[in-house]
Amino acid sequence: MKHPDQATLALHAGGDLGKFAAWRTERHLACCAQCRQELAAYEITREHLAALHSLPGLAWGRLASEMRANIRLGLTAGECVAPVSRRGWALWTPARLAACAAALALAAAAVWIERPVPVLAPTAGIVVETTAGGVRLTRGGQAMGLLNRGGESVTYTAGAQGSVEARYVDTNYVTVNQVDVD
Amino acid sequence: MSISNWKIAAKTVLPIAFGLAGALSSFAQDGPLPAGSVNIDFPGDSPLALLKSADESHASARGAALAIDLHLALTLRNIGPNRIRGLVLRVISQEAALGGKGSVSLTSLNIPTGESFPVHIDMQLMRPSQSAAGPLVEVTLDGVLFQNLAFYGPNRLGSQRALTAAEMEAGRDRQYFKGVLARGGPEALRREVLDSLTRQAARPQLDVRVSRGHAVTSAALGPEHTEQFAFLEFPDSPVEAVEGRAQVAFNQARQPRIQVRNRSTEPVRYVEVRWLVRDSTGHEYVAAKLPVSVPEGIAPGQTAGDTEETSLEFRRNNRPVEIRGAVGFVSQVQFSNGRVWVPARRDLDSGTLLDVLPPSAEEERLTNLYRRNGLDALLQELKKY
Repeated sequence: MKHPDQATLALHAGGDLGKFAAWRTERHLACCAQCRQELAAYEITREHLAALHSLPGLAWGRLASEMRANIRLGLTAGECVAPVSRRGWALWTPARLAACAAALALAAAAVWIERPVPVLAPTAGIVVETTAGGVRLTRGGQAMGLLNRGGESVTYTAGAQGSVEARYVDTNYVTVNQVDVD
Repeated sequence: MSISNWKIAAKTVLPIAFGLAGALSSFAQDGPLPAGSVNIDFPGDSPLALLKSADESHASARGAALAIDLHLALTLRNIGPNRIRGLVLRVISQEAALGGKGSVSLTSLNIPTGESFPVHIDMQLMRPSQSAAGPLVEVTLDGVLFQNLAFYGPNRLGSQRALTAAEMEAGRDRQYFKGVLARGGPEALRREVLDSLTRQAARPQLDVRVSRGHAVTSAALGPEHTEQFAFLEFPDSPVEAVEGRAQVAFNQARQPRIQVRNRSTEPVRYVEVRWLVRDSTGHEYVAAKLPVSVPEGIAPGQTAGDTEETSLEFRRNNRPVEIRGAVGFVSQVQFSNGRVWVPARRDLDSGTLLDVLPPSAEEERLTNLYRRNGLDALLQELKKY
């Protein structure tokens, strides 16, 4: 069996595949537990990346400000120390080279930090749900999921008190994975 | 280049380099989990012995979070005096998802004394990188059900009822298949199994998302209304559902409420109502199980009810499924003495219920056995019971 590559699964997790490619991937996922697990991992990562923007510990804004301040300092310092009489050669003083390198690095960092993130639907507090690979509980940026193993056909059942279970036949017995909201 | 120029260069570049290196290095970490990350704890008097535990788990940093893939392969042995029919392992991750709780149950077992069998637990966790020390996951035994319906375990998850109900359904469906075989021979059994496999393949299934607490409802869903349940009555059911409703907006239902009356002569401590929803095209799907739990018992003739502060969202093939109707029926009753009632096969056979409901775990196992190994394997399996 030919498995979809990682890029295809990642795009599928974000709903970014074309219709035909999505249909082909769905057909494969229906009979491949391994790829369903991969897809579930991408879904968790994708949701978590969205949450990273709001993580206070990273202080992206502060990091960007520091970078800008340092670049300005480098530019100012470069102008101060540049000899006036050797202007043509002075275009590539170490300070200016450093400033250019810093600007490039800043641009790369900005692209990385501000990369487009898919907009996710808001979720209220604790959520437990079915995924392509099993059942998953999410709370803020944290998650816990139980994955299906080898079942060709999985029966999902919700409990209105706040649980979801996945049932499948595993060799000669039946496995039931259940995740509860509390 | 003068020293001052180098200093300026260093001052400019180093903070950027360190900043980027710090951000990028966290994406490169990957490795096995440290020892003690998974704690498997079975009581000393357990009828199950843990023979082997293979752990192929690993963690990888993703930004400020740690993604953990847990793949546990346990080998357990029945060291008790009775055949084991089912078991429930409680799986808790105190740190990930702030106390996320789950369970891995095995039903339709037939494990004699002294025999070993595998149990697999596959989990994914996502938690902050900076977190307190201690086991990531704790696996404990919540219960074991034996052939004679005796139970062992702390039963924190209601495992005794769930395993007993599964065993009752298993016995019911094995008897049904044996009856078909006795009346019509192997070919009649083959036809019955093929009918079941056809129903299983055709049965529509919903993706569901359950959230607790205050629900986020979108104005795009339209106005919310109260959807009243219609109920299917089974003549021999010890409990009847008398009222049910939920607040429904397009594909979301919240605060489902159910009220039941005990019409038997024994007190009842748990009732489960199976909730079906109908979409705009008339198709019916299993939506959820609605429990009514009354530990002190519902006396004969008395009514009791429960409202769940949850919100359920239904989708199919990534599209919302509009709820146009709700149907319910009593699917499980536990009496105060621990005895469990499940509907008879003839009740489920009436109408289209069998087409909508998933098969019991045992029916699914037996039909899967036929599909993989043929009729002879199924006949041999039925002879074991």
